[in-house]
Amino acid sequence: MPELPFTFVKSPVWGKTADQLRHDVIDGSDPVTGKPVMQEIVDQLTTPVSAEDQTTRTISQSAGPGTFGPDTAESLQRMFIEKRMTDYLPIVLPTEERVDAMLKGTSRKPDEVVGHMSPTPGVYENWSYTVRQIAVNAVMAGADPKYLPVILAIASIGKESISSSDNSFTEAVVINGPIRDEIGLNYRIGSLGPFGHANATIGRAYTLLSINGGNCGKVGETYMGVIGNPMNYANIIIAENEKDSPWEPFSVRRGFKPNENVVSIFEGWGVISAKNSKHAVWSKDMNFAQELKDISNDQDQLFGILAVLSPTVADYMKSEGYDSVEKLTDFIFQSQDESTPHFRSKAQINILVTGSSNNLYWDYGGMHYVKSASIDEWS
Amino acid sequence: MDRRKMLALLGLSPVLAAVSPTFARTAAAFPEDAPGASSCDSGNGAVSVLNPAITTKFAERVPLAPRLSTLDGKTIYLVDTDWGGMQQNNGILEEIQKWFAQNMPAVKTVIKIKAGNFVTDDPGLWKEIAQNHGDGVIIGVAG
Repeated sequence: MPELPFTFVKSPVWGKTADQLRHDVIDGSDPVTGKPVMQEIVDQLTTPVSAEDQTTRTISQSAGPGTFGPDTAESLQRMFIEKRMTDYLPIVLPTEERVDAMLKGTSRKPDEVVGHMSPTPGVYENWSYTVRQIAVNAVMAGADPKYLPVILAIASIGKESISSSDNSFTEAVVINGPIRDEIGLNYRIGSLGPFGHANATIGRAYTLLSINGGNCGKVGETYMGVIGNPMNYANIIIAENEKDSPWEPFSVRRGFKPNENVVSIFEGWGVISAKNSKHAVWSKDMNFAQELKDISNDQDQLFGILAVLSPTVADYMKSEGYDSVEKLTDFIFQSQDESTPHFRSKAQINILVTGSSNNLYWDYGGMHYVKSASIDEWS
Repeated sequence: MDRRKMLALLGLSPVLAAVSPTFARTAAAFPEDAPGASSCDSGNGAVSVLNPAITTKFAERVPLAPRLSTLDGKTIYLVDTDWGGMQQNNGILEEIQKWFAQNMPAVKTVIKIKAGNFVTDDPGLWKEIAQNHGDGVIIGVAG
């Protein structure tokens, strides 16, 4: 929000001594405005705000015309890249006919406002989007109309998939319910990889919607990720393998009915294989619950842990006595001795089951639960 | 022809074809993107497309607080957002506090750590600052 008084300081500020902070930050200049930091702060506290900024109001900005063209497909593909409306990969051009076909995937009216989004809630302004605008992005992603209710449900949550944070966050989308089979989501071999059309295009549609519907991912303006995150291309789509899991689906544990179709969003740094952890055990002494507990205790406390288990690993844990996720979560949360637990609450520990049963691999990462939404409401 | 050989000639594995029934349908539905294919409306291969960004962007703005005419004799709260934990950020607010003590000694400063973390609200703290007659707030830091 341009009118809010910000003072930028030389980054980073953490990990510095008092002398470094004084020299680099306090006695330094705002790298954006060039003004001395403390003088700028004092000025912002004492310079009157305009009469307009003292009122409540709605602002609007134009994002250009409603249509582009007519032009050649090649030129339009280039235009989408130049306008930073894509992930830099080729798109399916969103002609009116294709968007109309996509809209047949829902009974909702095209002009209904589905939700709003910003590159970081509370920092940037919220942009709202309609069913039609989401359908345009779904077409660009190559999605099938029958995936649209899933994409609309994701959009209704309003969580940006590309945060402005210099952390380079990514999102995970957990999908539960019979719709997983109805639209062909892959939840078996390679379920987190590019091996299912629904998985790939739903995830990509979420990214494109965040760029075009939430003003996210504009490098230098609304995106400052230091390293970036390859998972931003299509997010982490996790259709749970409910059939082979020994436990209740995640959505049921969140209070939804077993036959409800539900999306749930997680945010964090992404997931990696637990095999690379120093706590990974690869012998006859394997104790997966203890391994998960040890890895959890190494995680940053900000986002907790998201463990993505294969059905085989989950079965092992069940055989170790954890016949429910709640019981397993209790074990992970408890400290090894009488000290304070590592995480602030049990809610920081989340466990999912997906993938195949051909080996004992599993993934984990620092990701926290954001929110769930019904897919059925968007059919 | 043997089905497996036919798929191999097409560059598809039997597994991919089996698990991706929608792919073929989607590709076939949009033939006009193929090089040289005609487009939907304008002839000469020209196409019109819809804008994927919102055509009008709306945002609600809340009124900004009136500014102070002077900081002399005022109480300014320095609020740590608790980004990444207070041990990582608190030092900068302490340095700001020292700066005010040295350069604007008539300003009283109070350091507070916001509850939760940098993405959570802390209505209790805002109430506390108002009740204690805080005149202004400097909130930081983000990273």
